[in-house]
Amino acid sequence: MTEQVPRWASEVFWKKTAIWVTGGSFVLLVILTFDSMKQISAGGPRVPAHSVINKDISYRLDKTKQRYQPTIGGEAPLFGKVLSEEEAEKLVDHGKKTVQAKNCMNCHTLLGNGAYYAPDLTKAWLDQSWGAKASREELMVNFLLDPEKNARTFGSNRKMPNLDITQPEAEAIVAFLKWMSSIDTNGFPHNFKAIGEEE
Amino acid sequence: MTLQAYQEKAAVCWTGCKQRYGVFMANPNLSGGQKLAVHYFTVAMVLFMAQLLFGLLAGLQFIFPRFLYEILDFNVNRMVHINAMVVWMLYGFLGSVYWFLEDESGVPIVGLKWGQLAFWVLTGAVTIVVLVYLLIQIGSGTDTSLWLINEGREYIEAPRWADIGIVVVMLTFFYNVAATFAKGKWSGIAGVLTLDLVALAGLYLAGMFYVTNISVDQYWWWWVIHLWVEATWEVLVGCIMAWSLMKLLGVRRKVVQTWLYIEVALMFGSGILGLGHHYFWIGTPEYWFTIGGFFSALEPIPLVAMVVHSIYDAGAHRFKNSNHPALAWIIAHAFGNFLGAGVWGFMHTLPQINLYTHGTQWSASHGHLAFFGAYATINIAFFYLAAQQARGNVWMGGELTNGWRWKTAAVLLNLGVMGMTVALLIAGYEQSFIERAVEGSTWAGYFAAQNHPWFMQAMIWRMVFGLMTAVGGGLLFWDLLEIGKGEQRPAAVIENDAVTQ
Amino acid sequence: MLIEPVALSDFFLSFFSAALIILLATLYAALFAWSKVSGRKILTILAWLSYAALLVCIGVFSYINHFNDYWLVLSLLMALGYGWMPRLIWGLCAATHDETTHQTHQSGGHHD
Ligand code: HEC
Ligand code: HEM
Ligand code: HEM
Ligand SMILES: [Fe+2]
Repeated sequence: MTEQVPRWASEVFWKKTAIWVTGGSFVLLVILTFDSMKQISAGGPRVPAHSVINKDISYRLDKTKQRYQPTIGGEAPLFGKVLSEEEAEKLVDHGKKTVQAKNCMNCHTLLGNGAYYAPDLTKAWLDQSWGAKASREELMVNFLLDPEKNARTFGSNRKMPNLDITQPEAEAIVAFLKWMSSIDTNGFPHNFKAIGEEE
Repeated sequence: MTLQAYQEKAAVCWTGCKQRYGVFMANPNLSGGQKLAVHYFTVAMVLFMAQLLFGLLAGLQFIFPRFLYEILDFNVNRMVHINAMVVWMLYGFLGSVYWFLEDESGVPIVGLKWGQLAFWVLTGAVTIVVLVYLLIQIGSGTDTSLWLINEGREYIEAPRWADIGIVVVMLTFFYNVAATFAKGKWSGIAGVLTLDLVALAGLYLAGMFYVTNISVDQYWWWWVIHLWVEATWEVLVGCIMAWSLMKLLGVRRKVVQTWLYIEVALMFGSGILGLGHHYFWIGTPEYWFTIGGFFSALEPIPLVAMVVHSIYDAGAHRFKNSNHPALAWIIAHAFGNFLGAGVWGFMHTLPQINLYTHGTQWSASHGHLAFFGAYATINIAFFYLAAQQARGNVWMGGELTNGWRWKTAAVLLNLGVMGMTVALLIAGYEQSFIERAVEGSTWAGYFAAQNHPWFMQAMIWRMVFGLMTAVGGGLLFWDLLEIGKGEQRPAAVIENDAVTQ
Repeated sequence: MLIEPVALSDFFLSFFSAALIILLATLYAALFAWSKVSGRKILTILAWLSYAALLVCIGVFSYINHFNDYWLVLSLLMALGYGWMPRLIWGLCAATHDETTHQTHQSGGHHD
């Protein structure tokens, strides 16, 4: 069958275009994925090694970049124990697994993804509502163990339910949250004033 | 009543069901593939109702936080809400493909028995998964929980065993499709469809493993979510639309297929790298600002093109068609896709503004309109095509008996979702202002935004329009069960392009 | 600094101009197509007016979103792309739908 349509409007032309455009985009995506994976593996430039939970972490405005960035300070071992990279990874891993098994992300956002019924947890470790750095770890663990009794709700009356989190799970979650707060998220959340950074 | 009376009642009910099912399976108006399709559509509608119900429960908890507290918590309701959505839409897609597979390939479906088995296996699995979501809900922080209860990753929460089951069912489905086309005729639509299904199923694998690293986790999670809804699903719908346009409006194959290729080029060309708009803030490198910003800014182009094209087609065909409800929903699809994905998407897609809208009700506003506008609508259109054929290819033009019902359902659903979208938009606007920009997204800042009068009123309006949506949904279900019954007039005959001009 | 976020006071304008860009691009394309179908002069004028409005919106949007150096390429792309697209789509519609010699066609019937 012969068509009088111009070439640029023909079926064959668009078929080829579709194939090349799709293939090209996909190849580019794969290349970029390799590079991104390199940059976001733990211990890489953007996502610190798990043993970062041994350090003091904060979040400050970077004057030259004009955006907030995590800063890693001196020794500040979590629950007073200095962990090897392996031990730290195991703890963080347990925390992450608990976060998934308890379905936290259908109430909270992590890195801004998830549900919008409860506060973003990206920098929860650094939240000023924990009061002071010294008592923070204990308060967090207690909160996770019994969020109903330790509720704040800021007048909203919206409480986090008791999720039957055990003591080891709670500690692991805190480790995970501490580690997550050290990820360089390109300035999200903006304007977040971290604990210990009060003027 | 005594137990025995209950048992008798149940027995009568069961025999009734069996008999009706027998009548359905003997329906001479439907081919084997089309009967399987109706199975999928039926479950899809049931799940759609479940989605609406659990959406209402979750929405109520914003207003009354004590409602079902520690019985059916927000996370459970929300998980069922969005999982029911993903699953019913996939059911609708599978059904649509089974529906036209024989017509398009010219031969009966190869391995239909396996396809039927796959349907019952999948439906059984879905039932178990939902029951576990509702009754067991959460587990301890172990691999076992992720394998048996839920994986805790939005939209793809299904436990690992179910993931594997889903993959097996998808392979069976894929075998049906590929083998049938191979035995019958290949067409442009067949080619695009087959490759797209490979991509769609392959992407699901990207969401099937566990990692400690939350940045890596979110990176692959978005492969599934974004590359589904903004690439492979759009193209799948493109295939379904291409076939429907030939059937419904009588557009020529050559035209339809050329446009399908154009759509693939534009969708994949912008959508694949547009993925970058989810890589601004999850730990990934800065170059995603540029790539994500530029390519996602191009994503509305195919949507604009489709609206213009449909104006052209409507003009050329003067809207002559044999199924008014289906055409109405196809029009809703063109506009819904354009508004929800194109306009709402573009408003928050650049990093310059997404820094503030990210993870707020803004996303929910866009999510509701886009999913409804792009995917609920086209599925509903197909349900009407199926209802028409199942009842003997009867008249579905003007002056239908009880024609008020499909019209009211359509108005309530579209107005309801639009109303919810606007309410959430206001909430999201306020949230990006107060929580994200001023308060810096702290715990206190979060609640400062939630307690703001704008937000609280928006949550009430969302419920008002949510109820409207749910009523529309119920009416739609009823209508699909009844429409065309007892209709004597045959369907209007639609002529081909070549003849109309 | 790769990007400079929108200022707090400009949020609304950013959303508004973004929505208008897509809506006006569609309106322009639709008016363009309609003017071709009906051949009415007034529609051509309206089409050009909506394109002019589109350009204004792109300008506002780019300014509010602090586009500088390579981001300006995006502004340019939108201005040229949305200006040229209706012509392309129109050309495609007219070319693909243009037919004279076709026999009646059953779907699934024949393939090229
Ligand atoms: C049913 C919804 C729900 C689920 C599930 C849930 N949370 Fe919460 N969470 C809340 C609410 C609501 C608050 C605010 C409570 C308050 O202010 O008293 C909160 C507060 C918090 C806070 C303090 C807020 C902050 O910014 O620091 C942390 C930490 C937290 N949750 C962690 C978790 C973790 C970890 C999980 C999963 C193991 C989880 N939540 C599961 C609803 C939920
Ligand atoms: C039919 C197509 C689309 C559907 C169904 C859809 C759906 C969604 C959903 C549900 C979310 C929220 C995801 C979550 O739970 O975190 C989302 C996020 C997003 N969408 Fe879409 N979308 C579509 C098209 C688009 C398009 C075309 C654009 C851009 C032009 C876009 C831009 C975005 C952005 C930027 C986000 C991230 C929001 C955030 O930062 O929180 N979407 N989309
Ligand atoms: C009865 C009407 C409905 C109500 C009351 C409702 C309510 C809700 C609620 C409360 C959430 C959770 C948002 C949050 O995390 O804060 C939600 C999420 C969602 N709903 Fe609905 N919903 C309804 C109908 C629909 C429909 C018809 C669709 C699409 C077809 C839909 C798609 C979604 C999506 C995609 C999300 C996830 C959004 C995101 O993560 O950004 N909902 N809905
Ligand atoms: Fe996306």
